[in-house]
Amino acid sequence: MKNCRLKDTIEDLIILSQHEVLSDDEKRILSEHIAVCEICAQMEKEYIILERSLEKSIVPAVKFPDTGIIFNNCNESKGYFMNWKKVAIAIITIGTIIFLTMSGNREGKKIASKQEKKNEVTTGEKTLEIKKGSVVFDVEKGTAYLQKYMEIKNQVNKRSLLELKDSVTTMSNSEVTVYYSDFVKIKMKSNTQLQYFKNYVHMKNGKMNVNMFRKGNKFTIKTPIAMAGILGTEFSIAVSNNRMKVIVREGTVKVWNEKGVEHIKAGHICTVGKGEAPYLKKTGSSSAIKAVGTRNNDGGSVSNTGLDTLINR
Amino acid sequence: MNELEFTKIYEEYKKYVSVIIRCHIDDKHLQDDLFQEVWISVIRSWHNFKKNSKISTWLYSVTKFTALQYKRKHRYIGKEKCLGDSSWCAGVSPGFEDSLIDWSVLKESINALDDEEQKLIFLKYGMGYRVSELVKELGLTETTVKGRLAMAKKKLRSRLFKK
Repeated sequence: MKNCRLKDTIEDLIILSQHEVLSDDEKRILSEHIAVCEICAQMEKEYIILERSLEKSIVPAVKFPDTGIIFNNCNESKGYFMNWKKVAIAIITIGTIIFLTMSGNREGKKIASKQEKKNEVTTGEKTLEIKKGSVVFDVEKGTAYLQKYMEIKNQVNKRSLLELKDSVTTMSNSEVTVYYSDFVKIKMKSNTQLQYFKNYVHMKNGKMNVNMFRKGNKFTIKTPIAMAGILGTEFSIAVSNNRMKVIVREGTVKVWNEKGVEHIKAGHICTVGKGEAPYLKKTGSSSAIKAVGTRNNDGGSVSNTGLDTLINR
Repeated sequence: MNELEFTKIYEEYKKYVSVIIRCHIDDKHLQDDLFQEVWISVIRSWHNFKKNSKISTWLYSVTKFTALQYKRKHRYIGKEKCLGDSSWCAGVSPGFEDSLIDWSVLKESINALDDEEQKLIFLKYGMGYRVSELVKELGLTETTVKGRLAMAKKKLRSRLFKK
């Protein structure tokens, strides 16, 4: 006999028979089957050996000490540990005192002054050059926070360098200008959050105006709703209440998400709702564009009230 | 943890702890050493035991963790010492009534089981619990206990008697 149809049932019965008493019928079926089936008889032998081995082998091999001995050992080791703890605390205290006295010396002062100078170079007011490939931002008005990747937010007042995955947040009545490499200028309005990535920026919410100096560069703004890629030169973007609006003043902007793509030319407005395809609205570049297109003296920025009217429309 | 409370738990579970230790370390002197170390860490970490699980479950985790830590600390490499017949192999000899599976082989197979299955095996064979007592100790239904025991035995058989 090479295979047995009742193998699984018999296996269960054999295991059960080792735990508890089987009924008369079950016993009869088991014994009758084992008498005729070699495979199941072999299996029963294996289970008997396994059961006996488990019973005889899994036995405690330790001399059980008294509870008092263990309790005393525990207290002794605790004392030993406590002594070491005291020694460690003493060493740390002495080390701190020595360090503090050392830092009061001239050398310490030199190091401190050097560090201060170094900080001035990196965060000094408009001392940073806007180089190709670097991203720098200026706080024009109000309060802004810089959050380095995996670090805590810090308030920033001066021109600072934005590194990969850093994010900038503006508070109410604040304005920040971000110089992305040497070809894009972004004016962040109040309550806007922007995170810098390679080749694109991620705008979580708020409003901003984007101005591209040079054509032919790739730059994309990603929002939770859709993406906007600059093909032209100047446009505004706003994200609030799961809606994104893009208004183009010059050139062309491509807006897309998983639902569809739209190319927005100058004078047109594009609206995208969450989970919806971009919707193009031809305004004929009249009142709506004028309302948001009121330029300031610096060229790139537009009036905040104009943007508000655009979003609320 | 006061001494009275400790004594109660110690008397109840000392066999259980020693059986788990035996599955991890072969050397008898080291077993004694580790046994004391486990109970010391039980006393020390008793305040961390939130009583969400059964004591046996918590003790199993503490023992296993202390054993692994002890092995790492002492750079312990298991000695594959055969206590019984060193030439244990697949198949059953004709005089199978007297044959026992070699401890080192059996231990390896038990260590390959899941934690839940190991716990059941240790409680059943180390402490001699019956199914009804296992139900009470682990807070499971009788069907679950029986099912897990059967599954553990099937796994052990397939590992030990693989041809």
